[in-house]
Amino acid sequence: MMVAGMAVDDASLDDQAAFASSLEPLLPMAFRLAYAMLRRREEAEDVVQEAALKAWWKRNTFRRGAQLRPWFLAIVANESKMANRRAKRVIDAAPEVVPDDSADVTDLRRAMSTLDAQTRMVLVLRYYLDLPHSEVARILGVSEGAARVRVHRALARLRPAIDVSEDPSYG
Amino acid sequence: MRGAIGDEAMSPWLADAVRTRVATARPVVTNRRWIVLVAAALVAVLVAGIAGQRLLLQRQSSPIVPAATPRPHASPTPVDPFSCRLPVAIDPWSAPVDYQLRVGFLDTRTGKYTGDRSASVAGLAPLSSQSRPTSYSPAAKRWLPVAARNVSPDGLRYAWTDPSTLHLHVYDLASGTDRLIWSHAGAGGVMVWGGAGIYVALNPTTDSQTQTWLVDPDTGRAAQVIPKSHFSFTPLATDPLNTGFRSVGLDANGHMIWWLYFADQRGSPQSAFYEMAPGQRVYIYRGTQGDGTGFDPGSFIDDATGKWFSALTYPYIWHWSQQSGLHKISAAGAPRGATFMPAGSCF
Repeated sequence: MMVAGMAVDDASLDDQAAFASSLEPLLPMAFRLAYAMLRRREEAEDVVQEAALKAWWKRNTFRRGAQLRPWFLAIVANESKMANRRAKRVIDAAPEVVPDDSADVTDLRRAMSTLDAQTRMVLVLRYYLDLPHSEVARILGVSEGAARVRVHRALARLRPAIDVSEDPSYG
Repeated sequence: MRGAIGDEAMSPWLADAVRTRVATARPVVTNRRWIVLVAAALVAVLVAGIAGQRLLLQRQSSPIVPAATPRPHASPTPVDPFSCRLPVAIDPWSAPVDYQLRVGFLDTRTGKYTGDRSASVAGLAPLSSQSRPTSYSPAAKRWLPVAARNVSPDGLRYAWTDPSTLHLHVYDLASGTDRLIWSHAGAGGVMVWGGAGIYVALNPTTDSQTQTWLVDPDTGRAAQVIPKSHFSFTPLATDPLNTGFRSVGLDANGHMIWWLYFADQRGSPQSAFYEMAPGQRVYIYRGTQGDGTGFDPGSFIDDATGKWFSALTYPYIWHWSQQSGLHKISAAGAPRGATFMPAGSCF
């Protein structure tokens, strides 16, 4: 059927139950992506469901033999952006502070909340989901070089608030 | 980055929901020919309308069974839910708001919100300068640094997760002592402290499915459980429409509350309910999209009077009990656009 949630065989693209099973290992990561973008559990869960449905409907756009994860996460990313727009969320709202926050974490959270959705998405993919540049590129639909540039620029926007260093050894 | 965003665990039911929705999804008509598309769309609308109507009738004829005896938060005297003080917190993402005004009380008779400028969680675990008042215990008469769902039914203890180890602690407000009660592998988060113990959502590994565990707050004994009356997904397989559903949360009796809807289809049926047994639903709300009720549940808590729901979009708080049904309380006195989350038992 599939290997570690990354590849999907032809049969799974024709069978609804098999396709759903192929998506299952990817759901925790899909949920984390949606949650990072939307900040509300219930909305993130809605988005993951919608993304799974759309993935099934759009399966003819999936290149057979390719990796399933970046393709599916791209749909989740898009659904998250649409949900954000629908909610007309106030992006400069006071960020929630949880008891374990250090001052750095509070600063970072505050800085993240002021970023536009696209910039935030880049950082979430790279540093929250720990995806390599190559996969960030596939999710954003850009070249790997362009993805590196976007990550670099996103970090530059975040740096005034907190020091986040790029690790050249990864990705 | 993880600390800034938080590490929310995926709900245990989400994989089931995705499997069901994908497995029962209708085929989508491709756009090869416009005429075929238009014709198919018309047929689909017709079929969906008829089927939706039948579905609505079917839903309306579903049995409503009495709720189990609630095991709510303890309250010394009966409280009138429509004339009491409900602790609430403003959803920080709904509107910019000063921290000093983020928590307070809602007068359920007048709907007036008053921020509590004196709210403090000083001295309570976890000891951190960043701790903020989040919920209120009328029994202890103080604000607590954890969500209301983490508080024991008697309001005198609360559960919290150590951010460095992700292990479960219980803080006793009467004695002022903190105790590690459950160490486990992976990331865990409290779902609710109910009558039977503390329900915890656990992800043993980053990519694993979320499990539900029930932890005894006194002994720390933990056992994996399937929440009572878990939504019976089977009937959805026959639904002709693509049903959306999500969990609103686990109540104090261990019942999962579900919100069932049809995405963006005005006039389509929608409902909130829990199940006593597969198919035996207790409805909190049953109506149609755009019916004017405006019920759009976010989170909820249980107390002696029933269940208090937040609204995702509007400045409402909703109250539901088996006896009085569903009632809306419009809140005033908060910043424009603010939505409220119930933060403790009404008193």
